[in-house]
Amino acid sequence: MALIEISKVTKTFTMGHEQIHALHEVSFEIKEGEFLSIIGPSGSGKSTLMNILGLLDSPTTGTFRLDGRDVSKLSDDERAHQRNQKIGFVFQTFNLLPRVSAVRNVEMPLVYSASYDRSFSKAKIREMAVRALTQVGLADRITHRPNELSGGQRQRVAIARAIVNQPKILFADEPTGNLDSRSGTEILSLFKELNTNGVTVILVTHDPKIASFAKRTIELFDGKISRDLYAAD
Amino acid sequence: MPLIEVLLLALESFRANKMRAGLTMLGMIIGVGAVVLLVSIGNGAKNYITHEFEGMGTNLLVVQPGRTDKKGGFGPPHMGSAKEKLTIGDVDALERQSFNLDAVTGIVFGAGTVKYEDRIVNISVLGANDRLTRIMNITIGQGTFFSADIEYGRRVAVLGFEVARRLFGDADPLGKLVKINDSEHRVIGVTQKSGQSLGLNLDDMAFIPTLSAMRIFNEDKLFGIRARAKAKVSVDDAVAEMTEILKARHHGEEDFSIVTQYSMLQTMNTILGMLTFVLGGIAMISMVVGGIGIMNIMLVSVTERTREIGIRRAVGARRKDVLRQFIVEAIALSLVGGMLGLLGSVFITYVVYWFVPRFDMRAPLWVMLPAFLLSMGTGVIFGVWPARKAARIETIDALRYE
Ligand SMILES: Nc1ncnc2c1ncn2[C@@H]1O[C@H](COP(=O)(O)OP(=O)(O)O)[C@@H](O)[C@H]1O
Ligand SMILES: [Mg+2]
Repeated sequence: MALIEISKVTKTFTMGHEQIHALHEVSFEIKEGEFLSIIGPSGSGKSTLMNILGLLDSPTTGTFRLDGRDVSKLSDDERAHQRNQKIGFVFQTFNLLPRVSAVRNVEMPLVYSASYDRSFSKAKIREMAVRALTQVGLADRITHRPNELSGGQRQRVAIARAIVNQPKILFADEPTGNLDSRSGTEILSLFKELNTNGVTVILVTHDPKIASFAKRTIELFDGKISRDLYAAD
Repeated sequence: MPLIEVLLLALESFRANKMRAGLTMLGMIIGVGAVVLLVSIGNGAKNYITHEFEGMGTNLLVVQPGRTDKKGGFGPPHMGSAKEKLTIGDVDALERQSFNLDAVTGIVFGAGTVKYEDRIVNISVLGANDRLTRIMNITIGQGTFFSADIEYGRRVAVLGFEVARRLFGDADPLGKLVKINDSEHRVIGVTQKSGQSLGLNLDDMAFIPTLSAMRIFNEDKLFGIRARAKAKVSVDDAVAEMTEILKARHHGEEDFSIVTQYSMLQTMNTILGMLTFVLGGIAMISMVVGGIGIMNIMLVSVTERTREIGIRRAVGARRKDVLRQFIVEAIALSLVGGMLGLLGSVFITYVVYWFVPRFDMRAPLWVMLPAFLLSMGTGVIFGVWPARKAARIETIDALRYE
């Protein structure tokens, strides 16, 4: 069974009288444990697709099955629940809370998990956050604030936050866009390592070099899939 | 999400933006502080008046010429008609016929000057008989008050403590001749220093016999009559008896009104209660202003934190989690601000009490509850709209927000 299964997904934005077809009848499957990149020129619909796959947005038409369950018509609250349990995000601009320590940033998803599971005590939340920070190599930066960290370290805090609740899927939208090439490579190796541990990684980028880190590449052009390639092992 | 965690988030957000949190609280500090202070002032005034009235004795009766319809009111009696005169004859009649009264005196009152050699002092002149000391609780420090066998028109005077000091300094005033409104009077006594009481300062007055005062002010009638009921007698009985005696002398007409100490106190309390209420109402306006301040800053804060909202929603916060977070922040800010305002204003009332113990405006204990509820309510009322605005933000829009 595929982890992600979308068929004929269309996303249309209405701006005034104009209709923008950001995605047009996109269909594909992603199996658990894949390392996939979505590539394409700017404006081709990559972020729109990621938002839909990450349950941040709903498709205008088409179906989306996540983990065997139709999620195209979930309520807002249920989508928040699913995001909390199954999905992690890494953004180009890190999106950390600037005035809060690394560990508090990483704890954020778990704080909301506590609404569903009473076993998430303060101690357990702290322990999980520290473990995630250790996993990304920041065990000694726990109490630092984002502005006391380098760009690469900030992105690793963001990755720790994305994986702290052990999600099935990790989305990364241009994660190296704001980093120098060395930090960028470090981040990509981290994704590779996570993927080896079983996390499905979906990497959104406009850069073919970065996309080449993935085992499979889906290329978008004008809201449609123009290529779907598996890298030769 | 447990409330503790929401509170922690609020605390984190205050620490991240101390200036904003401080400004938000300032509105509430001033709002709640103003309410508590004004209520305390009203309450203190009420205590003060009650205390002063009780100091004068609760069995005091005042007869005013003219009829007032309101029982025990302070309203102006309508003057003018010859029938409505109160005279020394009335005082004598009350004194002779009443069983319930302890002491009765006629009162003539006016502004005047008292002169000794080249010194002049402006004073209030009170004409009365020898019973005045008992009715008004006057203590004589030097010499004597008028004696019981005094002729109403004799030109003797008892000076207030302060008047005597200013006219004579350290010299002995007894037996000296002073000119009260150009009429010579011999000083027979000086009151003991007593200070202000209900706006009447006995130290700044001169007391002369009733007829002498009527002559000075060119009056053929009394200002009023004051009497004291006997200790074991009910005030109502005394009023009934006085009414009967005076009516008999006034051709069966009740062209006077009798005000009791108790009814005066009640009227004062009604006025002061009203005043406290009005002051509280005015202070409520500052609460509303404080609340609008909270709403304003919360609205700005929601816009500023759009990104944060997007991040929280992306990692699993539901709309209601965001709503709760912002409402709790508003409530926490207004509660903390309100409690600071309460503490500050209570402190001020105690400081005032420390310096002016006669005016006890210490905040009553019960203001704590309304102050708490008021600041909590303000937080809820003015926090809801910004919080709803925050919860309505779409996640993807929030994440793109610059
Ligand atoms: N919220 C939106 N409202 C209107 N148009 C949008 C919105 N999001 C994306 N678009 C449009 O949809 C198209 C695809 O955008 P996007 O998915 O961000 O592309 P990419 O990430 O590949 O650069 C673009 O033309 C963009 O302007
Ligand atoms: Mg994009």
